[in-house]
Amino acid sequence: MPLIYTAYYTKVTFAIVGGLAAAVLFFYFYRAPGLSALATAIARLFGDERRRVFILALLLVLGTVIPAVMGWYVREVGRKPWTVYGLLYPSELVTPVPYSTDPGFLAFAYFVVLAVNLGGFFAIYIVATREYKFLELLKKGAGVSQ
Amino acid sequence: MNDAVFIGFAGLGLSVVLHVIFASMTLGTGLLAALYRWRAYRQNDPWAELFARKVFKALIVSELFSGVWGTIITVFLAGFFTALTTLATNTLFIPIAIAIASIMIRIPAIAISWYTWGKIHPRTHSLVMWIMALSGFGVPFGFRAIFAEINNPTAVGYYFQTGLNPGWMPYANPLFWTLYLHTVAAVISVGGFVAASLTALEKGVRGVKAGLTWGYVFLISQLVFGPLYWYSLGQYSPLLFNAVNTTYSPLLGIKLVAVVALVVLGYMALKSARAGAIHPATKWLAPLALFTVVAGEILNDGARYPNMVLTGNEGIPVALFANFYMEIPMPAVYVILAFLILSLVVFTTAAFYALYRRFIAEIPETE
Repeated sequence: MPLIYTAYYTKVTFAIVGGLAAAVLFFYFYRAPGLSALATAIARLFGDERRRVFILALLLVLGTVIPAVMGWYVREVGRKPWTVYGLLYPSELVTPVPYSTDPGFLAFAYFVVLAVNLGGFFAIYIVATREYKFLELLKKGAGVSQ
Repeated sequence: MNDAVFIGFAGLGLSVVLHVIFASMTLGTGLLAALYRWRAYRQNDPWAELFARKVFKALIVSELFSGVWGTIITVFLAGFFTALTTLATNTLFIPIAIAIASIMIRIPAIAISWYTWGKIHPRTHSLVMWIMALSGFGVPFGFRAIFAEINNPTAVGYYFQTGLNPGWMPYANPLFWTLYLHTVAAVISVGGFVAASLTALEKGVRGVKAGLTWGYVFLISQLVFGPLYWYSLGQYSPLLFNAVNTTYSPLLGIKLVAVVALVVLGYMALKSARAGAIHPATKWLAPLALFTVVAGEILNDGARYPNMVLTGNEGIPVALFANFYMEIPMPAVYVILAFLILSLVVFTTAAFYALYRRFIAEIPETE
């Protein structure tokens, strides 16, 4: 269970970091007596204007995504070996179909999940990094310039 | 049959009908979008690419609403018909796995197709589009096996007799193939007519002609597949066949009239489009095609009432498949019914505006 404890405290730590980053960003941009001065002093630790906003925003993202993922992990993995705590084991709930535990079917299922995820990540990368050249590529793809 | 079971059956039926409307639109337009995107790449035709994008927008809207109603079907099945869900999941594992795997591939493929359009090589994009379009046909390939089994339980019968999982046996059910062919032809036909009707609103003659050609060719193929399915029902599901031809004969008659009207109006519209004009009836062909789909689904699913599963000349009542874990309180049933009606109004209105008012943002499209 050390893994669960580590995951749990990682989740709590990042949640605190995310909360603090959100508070600093908020009072950095919206003036409040005392708090804004403190927020500005903290933000200045990260360098110039562009850099401090980027780092605080990054901490905010990490402070929301990591607790969300770790929360699921702690709850779902931490419940093992039960599926319904104290009542039912996974082996009692699995579909009583031989195909569901067949290596071929499992390989197929994992392949589909993996392919969909890799395809999704690749598409997100393409969308995030490439310029939108629809009209140019439309003409190229349609052969207008050929 | 108590009120809760009846409302559950009616709610399930309504959800299936609405799901089928949007599912036929999304599968049909998906195939057209992939085909014309590929044609744009292969034949150097910029118009084909713009047409593919227009059709793709109808796909996105209908896919969203199809998914919403598919989820509502699952809720009805799990809540009201737990025994049916358990039995289907255990005995029809392979068809359900095929349908779910197809959904898992199709939905991300739609997103990938849309967002990478214009950012990756047209050949790669065409490949993604084909994966998107063809995976869609895996969904009815899985789920139509369930419909064939509740009309003529061969695989489920094997399970009850032997206690063994029937594996691929649902695909040996003679009703499956006639129903699947009928479904595939219907969705491509609907996709063509939807594309034609929507492009008619923008006065795009070439798009109207393309949509009508596909819609009409597969409508004509239905003149073979429809009677073939009807005949196979007579052979393998006589109780449903008799219900369709007696109690439900007025609806069957209306459906046949709608098909004849579609054939006649479709021909007139196609003739006008080939001459470079848009026939005024073109915009009504999509609603008419969808009406025939709805009528067909009600005949196939509703005519079994008060039974859920049909075994030759006998039926197993809906009540036997109801939730055996709990007595569902009627106030909860009325709340579910109210939610269903609210969903119907909200989602239908939203779908209408999304399709006809062009709510999907688009970059400038000029040739």
